[in-house]
Amino acid sequence: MVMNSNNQTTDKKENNQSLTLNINTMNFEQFVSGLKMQDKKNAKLMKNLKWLYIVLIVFYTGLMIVNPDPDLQIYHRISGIFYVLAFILFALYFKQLYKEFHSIAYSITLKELLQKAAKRYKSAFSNIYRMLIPLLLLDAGVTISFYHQLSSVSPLERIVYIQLVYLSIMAAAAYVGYRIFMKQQYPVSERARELLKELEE
Amino acid sequence: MKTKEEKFKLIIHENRERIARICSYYAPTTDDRQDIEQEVLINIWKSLDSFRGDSAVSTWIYRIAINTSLGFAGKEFKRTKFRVNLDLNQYQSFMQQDESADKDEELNLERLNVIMNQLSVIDKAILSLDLEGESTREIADIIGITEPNVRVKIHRIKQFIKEKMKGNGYE
Repeated sequence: MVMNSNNQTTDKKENNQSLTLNINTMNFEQFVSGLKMQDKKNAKLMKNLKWLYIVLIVFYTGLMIVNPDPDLQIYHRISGIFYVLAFILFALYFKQLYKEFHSIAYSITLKELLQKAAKRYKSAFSNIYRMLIPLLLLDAGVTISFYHQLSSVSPLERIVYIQLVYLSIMAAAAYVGYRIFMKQQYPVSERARELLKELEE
Repeated sequence: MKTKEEKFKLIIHENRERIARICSYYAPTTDDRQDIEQEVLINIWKSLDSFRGDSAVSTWIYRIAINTSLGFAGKEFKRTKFRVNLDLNQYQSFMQQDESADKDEELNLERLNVIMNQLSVIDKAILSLDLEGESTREIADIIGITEPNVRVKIHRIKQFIKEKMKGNGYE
């Protein structure tokens, strides 16, 4: 074997000095104030998003349900109720997702972290059922509002056309979501499961 | 009563060497290392509110550093590149409890480091903690497995290194 430990040790010492350079020489005050600013920014973003949803819900409620415009038909108002309910449920769902993502704890054990990462794959699919109710409400709203605009065809054909368009858009969105999930989330879960298995061996 | 900022500064001040060392295992280049260090500091900041002192600060920091470095908490999977770069003293210290280890063996450290890097991510994480001088209890507390399991894994790692160093299956 070649004895090159002295050179390696010297290199290693130099390397170790450069290792600590980043933390030791960085502008710490600036870094901490950056962190605090980020915290404030996140809190502000959450607050703004919450208000945006509230404004949208109030605006749509006013526009479609309590608007005194005599040209508005009852079906407009009924579809408005469905839209507003769908918005509320979507808002609650996204709030929950945001909370789940941002509550990732880094100070848990590696095993717990891997278990959570592996579970994320399962929970992503089990979350789909939570989207079903708002999607059905949206479907009802779309069907009611477009039903009267397709007066040239029979009632059954109207519903079929609307459903075909709506379901095609939803299927395309679901496919894009699935592809993104398979590319980003699935490998994480797979790898987490592999490592968990190794940990338990 | 210390503010969050004061607590953070104190923790970083007392553990900066530790953080830098552990990050160095997970980042092959200086740029990567700086990115990981920064990410670890950010996650220490984020986790500070939930730190109740149930475990030692060093254990808590190692957990954050390892969890951040392995990249399992993020949205997207980052394939971890792990680099163990031992010097002779570290190697001897690591192998010293092994009675059959040849203390006088001349070492080709380059070869040793290649062998170390053939270990799995989990074994490398355990190895990095052992090299840091953490006890089996502390390693168990950081990784989340039992102490006997840690001992078995460390024994297997040593066996693997010894066999490879003897030339069996060295690639």
